[in-house]
Amino acid sequence: METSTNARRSPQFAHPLVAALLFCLLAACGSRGTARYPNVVVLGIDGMDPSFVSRHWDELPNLAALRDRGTFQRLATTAPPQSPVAWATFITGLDPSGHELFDFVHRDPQTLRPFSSMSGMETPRRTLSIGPYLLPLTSSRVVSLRRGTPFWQTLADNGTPVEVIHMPTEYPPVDVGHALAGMGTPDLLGSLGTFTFFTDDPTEVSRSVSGGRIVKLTSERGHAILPLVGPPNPLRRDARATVENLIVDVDPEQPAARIRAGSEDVILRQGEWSNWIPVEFELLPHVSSAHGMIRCFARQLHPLLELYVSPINIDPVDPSLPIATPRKWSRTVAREIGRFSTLGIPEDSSALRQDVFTLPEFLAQTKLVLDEERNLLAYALRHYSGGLLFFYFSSIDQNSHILWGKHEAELLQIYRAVDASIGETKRAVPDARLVVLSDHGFAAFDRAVHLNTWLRDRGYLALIGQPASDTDLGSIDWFATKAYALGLNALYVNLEGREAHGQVPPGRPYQALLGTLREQLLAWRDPGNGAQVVKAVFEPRRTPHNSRVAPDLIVGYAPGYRASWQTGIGGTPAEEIEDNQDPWIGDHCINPGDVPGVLFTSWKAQLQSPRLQDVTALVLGLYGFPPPKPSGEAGRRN
Amino acid sequence: MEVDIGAVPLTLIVVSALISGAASVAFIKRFADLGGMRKAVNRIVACLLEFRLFADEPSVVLKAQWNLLAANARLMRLMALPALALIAPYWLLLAAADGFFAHAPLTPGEPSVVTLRCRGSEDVRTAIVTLEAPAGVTVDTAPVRIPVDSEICWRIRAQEPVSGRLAVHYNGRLLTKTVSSSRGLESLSDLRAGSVWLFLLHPEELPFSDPAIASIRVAYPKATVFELPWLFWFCAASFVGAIAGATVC
Repeated sequence: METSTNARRSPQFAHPLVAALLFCLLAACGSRGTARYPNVVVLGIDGMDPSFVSRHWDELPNLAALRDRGTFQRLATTAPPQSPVAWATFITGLDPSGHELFDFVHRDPQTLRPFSSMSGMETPRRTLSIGPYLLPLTSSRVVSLRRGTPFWQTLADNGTPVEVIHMPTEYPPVDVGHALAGMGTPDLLGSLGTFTFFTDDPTEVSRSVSGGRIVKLTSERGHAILPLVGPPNPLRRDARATVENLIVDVDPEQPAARIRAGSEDVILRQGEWSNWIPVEFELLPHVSSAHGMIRCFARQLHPLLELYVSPINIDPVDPSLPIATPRKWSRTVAREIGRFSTLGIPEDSSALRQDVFTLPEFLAQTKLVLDEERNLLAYALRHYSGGLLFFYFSSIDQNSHILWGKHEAELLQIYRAVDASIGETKRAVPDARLVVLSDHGFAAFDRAVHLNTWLRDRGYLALIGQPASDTDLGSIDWFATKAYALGLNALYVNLEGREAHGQVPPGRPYQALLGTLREQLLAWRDPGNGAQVVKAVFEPRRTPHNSRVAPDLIVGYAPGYRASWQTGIGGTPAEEIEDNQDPWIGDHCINPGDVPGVLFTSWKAQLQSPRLQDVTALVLGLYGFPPPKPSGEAGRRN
Repeated sequence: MEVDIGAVPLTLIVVSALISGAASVAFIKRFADLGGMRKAVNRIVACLLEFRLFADEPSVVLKAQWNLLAANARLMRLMALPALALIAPYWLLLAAADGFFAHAPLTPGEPSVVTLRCRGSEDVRTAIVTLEAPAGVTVDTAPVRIPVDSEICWRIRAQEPVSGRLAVHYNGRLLTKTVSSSRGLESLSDLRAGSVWLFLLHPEELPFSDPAIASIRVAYPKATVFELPWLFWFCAASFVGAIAGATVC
């Protein structure tokens, strides 16, 4: 009735032809509106291996459909094929010499101290000292050490809505669009993840282990107070560590316990995981606190009490550090889907490597992470209103490190879950162009290579004491050392004028040393089986900007070999090569040609032998922008 | 996690606070000795001025200090009567508002904890105790007994929006406690008290009488109204209401 009245009052609508024309005009305006920027969804799947995918097409129907209707190609990775390096190349379109990330860890050539290559903290320049407290008068801030302009900044600057979730090396997130920080985001302690394992096992002692702490506790009639160590207090002169007590009460008979953290109570049965529990570390009484969250796993409640507490993640509801753009967006997301991991690498392989987890327990923990990732993707798709959406999955990479080559069925389950998410994405945004890529593939890690020991055995490196598994850069006699290794692929020359105690003159002696090292590395054979240890050696392009952090050589190990964990921190054990006895049995920090990633597109993209930076150019091209210039030195500093 | 309960509660809080603020001012103007209060304030100001004017005469300053104390006491006495008269309605108003706005119902699918607190003399290890939940709420765990706190806890989980009563059977006696996961705005009682004193702090649900049990608590998520506690909005709006009331009356 109302419509007919209106029609009478507006005679121009009465004529069906006029109405149809007007409808077409409005529709055309609408379509122009949405065509202002193409809809593109990029799923970054860390560690997805093309050979694994090719072996299981039948189990991965959504990837197979992408292959059939669009393209599937192997994607050349970077040298070295490490995740921060490779993703930084995708982000900026620059090679490592341009974005200046060469390894997980870099070193300061003057102090010879290692530091995270991805981000650093600038402390306040002015402070006020009152009693035991040190109050900042200027702000401290987290800075990204990656150079170059992220491709989505170009898009956002030109009006395209962008949403970037968990992009690696994106901490703090760039100040455009909506973003959640990714790999490189620390826990509340500032580390890449430090778990705490409380136990009253009489054979245990309190100690620090790689990636965590074992804390011996005493419980009395099932009641125990667990001191959870928080971040060092930046408001105290002595930077004393903050502590929040968890109170655990185990039922006298049943394998169940109540855990009290602050005002929050949680009940867990043996073998159960808690949800995220907020914890607060008081910095200035009643004035300032650091907000974190933990997840507990009741590994055993009877007869022993064994409680795993996850690394203290930054609480997305009340973040103490910059993990989101806009700053409170993480709160908005958490309000809708619940708290979620904010740690850069949320899968706790350290707990498995330290025998705190069994393999099934580790898989249960990684499943929690994967479920969270899928929830987060579902949230992003629900709220997607066009433009660019990037979403990152870490689960395949972290599980491949533990399952590769020996637990195919378990790894396939992870691949299938990710494949299902790809299918959900296609269904949620059928009109968007979909790009699925990985930064690298995988290979077995059977033999651990102690590169510093190899250098020492050939007279390039000298130690102050004897070789040992607990050595690091501090054990090196710098006045008798010409080259040293730090990180998983980097080799540095002790160069005069650059290093604190440089021994190799620049120019011809330096070039000659590089040539000799390259030759000897390529000729290196495993004494155990005669196999080639190093398949390729790369020399990064040196620029005035990267000369302090760039390694002199990048070592591309043959499949089956990888730098040992001790080499990662500059250690020099006794043997040059030994069997890898660690649960970490798969890796990719080897010769890049042996661990390509994957590239799927939902349309027939024309790319010949694509590299990661070609995908950046492909996405920018969809929006009509040229690829980034290779000389990216004039990049941003957050 | 805190749950933001949004715009409708904010409207209710603001309206009730505006009315109560204005009504309080009207009440004070009607029943308080405003002339006497003004006199007391003037006396306080005079004493303060005496401190400055006669700073070098200790005997005058001492006398002024005594007079200042007396004037303050008089002001407090004059304010005490209307304040006491307002306590009861405010207690009722704030308790009712706290029931509606301090907590959010249980979120379906999310766990929560029910805590039975016993009196100190009870041995929770030997008590025969069970918890029954209404349809739509499941009890996830057996009772966890915590002798050190004289408490017994259960983990419950609402499966769907529902309002009902939990039934605790303790050594053959039955006690109940409301529980809700319904979506609408309703008064929630996080604690049912077993004593009058505790009831004064948690008046949303009538107390029970049991020689062994001190309270039954359901851990509801905390609620916020546009990111802030409801009391903030109430205080701000009642302040505005009081100023408006003072201007109009």
